[in-house]
Amino acid sequence: MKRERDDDFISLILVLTFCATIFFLFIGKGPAYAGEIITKYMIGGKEYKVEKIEGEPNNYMVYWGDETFKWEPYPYMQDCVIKEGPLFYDRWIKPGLKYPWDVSLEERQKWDAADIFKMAIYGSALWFGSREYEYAANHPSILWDAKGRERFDHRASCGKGYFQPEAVKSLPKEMQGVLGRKYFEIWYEPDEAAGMGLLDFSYLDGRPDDVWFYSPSVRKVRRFSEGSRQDFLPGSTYRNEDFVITRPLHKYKLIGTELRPPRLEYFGFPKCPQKNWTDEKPKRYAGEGQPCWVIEETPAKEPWWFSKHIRWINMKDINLSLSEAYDSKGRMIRWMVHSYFLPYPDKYPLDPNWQMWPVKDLNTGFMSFDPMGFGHQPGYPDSHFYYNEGMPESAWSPQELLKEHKKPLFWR
Amino acid sequence: MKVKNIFLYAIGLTLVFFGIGSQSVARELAEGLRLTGYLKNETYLRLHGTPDHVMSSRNIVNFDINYNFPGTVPIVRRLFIQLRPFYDTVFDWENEGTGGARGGEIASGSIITLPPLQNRHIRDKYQDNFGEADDWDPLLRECWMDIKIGRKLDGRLGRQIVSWGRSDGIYLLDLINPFNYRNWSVFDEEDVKIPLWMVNLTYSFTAFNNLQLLVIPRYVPEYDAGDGHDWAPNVVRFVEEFYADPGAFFGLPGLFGQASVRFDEPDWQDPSNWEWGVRWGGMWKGITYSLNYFYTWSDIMSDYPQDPFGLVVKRNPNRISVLGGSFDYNFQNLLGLENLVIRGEMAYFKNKVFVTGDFRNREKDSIDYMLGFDKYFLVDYWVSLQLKQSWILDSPSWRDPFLGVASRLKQLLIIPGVGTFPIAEGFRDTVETAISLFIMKDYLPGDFLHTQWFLLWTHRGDWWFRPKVTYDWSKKFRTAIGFNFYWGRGYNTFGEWTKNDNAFFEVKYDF
Repeated sequence: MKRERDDDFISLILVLTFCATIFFLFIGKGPAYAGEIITKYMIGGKEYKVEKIEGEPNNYMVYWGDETFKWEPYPYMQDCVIKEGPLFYDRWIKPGLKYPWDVSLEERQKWDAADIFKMAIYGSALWFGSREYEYAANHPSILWDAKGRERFDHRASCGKGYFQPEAVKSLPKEMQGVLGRKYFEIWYEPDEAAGMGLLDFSYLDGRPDDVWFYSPSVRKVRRFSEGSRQDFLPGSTYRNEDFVITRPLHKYKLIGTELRPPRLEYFGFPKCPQKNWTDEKPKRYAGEGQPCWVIEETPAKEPWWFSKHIRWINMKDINLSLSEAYDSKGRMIRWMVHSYFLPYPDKYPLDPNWQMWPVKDLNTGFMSFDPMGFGHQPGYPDSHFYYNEGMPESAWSPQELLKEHKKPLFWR
Repeated sequence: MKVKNIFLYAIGLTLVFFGIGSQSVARELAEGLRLTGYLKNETYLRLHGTPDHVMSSRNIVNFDINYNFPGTVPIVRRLFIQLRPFYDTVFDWENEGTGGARGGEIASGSIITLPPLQNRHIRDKYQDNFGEADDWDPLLRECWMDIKIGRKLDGRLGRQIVSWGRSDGIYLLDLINPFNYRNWSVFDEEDVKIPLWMVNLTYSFTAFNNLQLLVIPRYVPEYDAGDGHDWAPNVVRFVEEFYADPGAFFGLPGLFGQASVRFDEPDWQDPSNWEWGVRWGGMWKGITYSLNYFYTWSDIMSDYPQDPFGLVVKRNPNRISVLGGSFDYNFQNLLGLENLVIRGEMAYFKNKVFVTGDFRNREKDSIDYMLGFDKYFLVDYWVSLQLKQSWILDSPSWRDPFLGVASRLKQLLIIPGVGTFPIAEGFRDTVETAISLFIMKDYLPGDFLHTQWFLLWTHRGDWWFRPKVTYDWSKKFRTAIGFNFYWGRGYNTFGEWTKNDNAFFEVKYDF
């Protein structure tokens, strides 16, 4: 009798083991990488998850719905980005943040395409909406022709947004809620342009920008009519509507959501085509592998320089991340990588500024980019970046253009 | 021969510039001290008459020395010095026109035959600015210091250019600096305005509201070329010829010798002779505006004969008061035109001097105004249209107000090689009108090719058309080619330059 009970017990164990094996092999499949899940939450109606990869300490697997993305650090990434991995972007989704991240992830999903685009302009690094203070910087603006030959100019710029309460309060009453941004630019090089200055006020109520332009050859400040939005910014492949005069201009349609494709081959990696710039400098991030809204932008007026413009906007930091423009025949005519950097990641952990924004016109092969805050690079003027250096409101004046300032912190 | 020389010269210059290479000369001489500059050649080639007639070929070197004082130094912020020597090689090349006037020579086969008495010093006067030309084309072009006292008071002290106007090519409130009309084809304001020593203080109440005070101790008149220069206006030539031999105009050549012209310029050491101006700048409902007052001297000095025959003449400027204002506004949509900037200037001139056909000076008040319209068309054509009018107040008649000249004088106004100068029409009408059109467009990726088109029309039927194309070969080297065409009657402001239709070339290298 005892021997029969022993046989039954062994049989039961074998059957259970067999069943468990079947179960784990075919039914309860575990993840491909058995890494530690370091974050998981819902975003855009899909589960977003990040796992460490065993044996690859700085790499991560990112999952969002059906998509996967292997996140790897690249030499051009800022230290804080490499250190935190994809979780770096989660700083903009915590509760209790300032505008524009005071809106929860869930509430952001209720925005329509035009709202999303508007927030990507106003709230972010383009209109400085998250800051109550100004930035100032001096930097080259570089242009490569189709053969990689380079020209650059050297300029200083200042910008301030008027969305935060402290910034709004600094405006006259009639301008509060009306004026959105002030922008100042001075050219240092080439000598032909040295001393030229531009002051631009952008508004929230749809009126055209007020632009004052100073030219040393005439020694006067002139009110300038707002340039055609589709015209090139002088000496570059940027269009006016990319930078200086940007507010929602066109028609917008949300065509999907996806993890931002890396497009590393566009610029800077794996090998920067121009010897003066390495794969490491300037330090930046561009939202690769982050959940994005994908918006199709079509012109409000025809003809326009593009027929369709696809924009990836990061759901977390609500910044433009990647843009690809197409002509009426469906051919890509331009790409632009919207990269950023945190100039002061410890002191201002939420306030990025645009970095480089390389843009290539595929019709001509010309490419522009504006590297900022890289310090010293042989063959180029030094570039420094400053936040909150006490620029007085009185300095946002056409009178300042007359002085042809020679340094970015000209008010000191 | 001469055209070939020009091109060989230009090629040689180009090779020299390229040979210098694209590497920057070290320009940060010390902390805060920076030297920049350029080498430039401007060559003007007359298109009529002798086809290869070079009018001028200036080699210019410009040095800008800039020093930013450290923040620890109180008040003084910045020092700027601009030196701009030039040498015009036309006197070494040419035997005609201005180049032919080499002190004592009479050029043969030229358009203008110069009496020996006028053919003096022209080379010394116009060849470089180490001598007399320093007055209107100064070697030490600018030299000023920026100061800041407190947070609101800024100053610029020294030799400088100040612009009050908002226009291009035709000027109204740009009264502060006199104009150098040595070459009527020169268009850039920085090159045609004569820098002045002055105190320039601005108190900023807010970013857009400020009060400016200018004090200019030394009077400098507008400059017109003379001495038979290619760009000597008819009226200047006539006056020079008359004074050279007044008797000739009465049919008695040589009887009186030369007229005596005594220059009576205001003594700058007397503060009551200083010019001063006040300008309030502000912004109201998006309109930027200014209110201006300038107590000044006339840019042109007037001649006051001291005897009935004009043998003794006192030449002096006259005191003028100017009260005016300007504005600009950016319209989102005006009559279907989007993003249109409208700007305007107006000035009331008190006691301005006008010369009548019988060579008398009359003081009259006048009102001038200018309206400008700026807009981008067809994506990237920047178009500017300007209208300017000048009204003499209390004028005796609407047109040809200065009549009643003795018939004997009419036949005296003959300028050799030019023709009859009908003084019955006076020097201007009661109302003078000018309209200009300025178009700019850049081409090629990177905007390396710049084009400009300027067209001016006056109510007397004069035209000036100036197209120019500039190409940036690199960020340091650029070349330009352009033309200046003039139409109109030979005794009008621009019509008289028909003989000076020209092509011009510029080669510029920045260092």
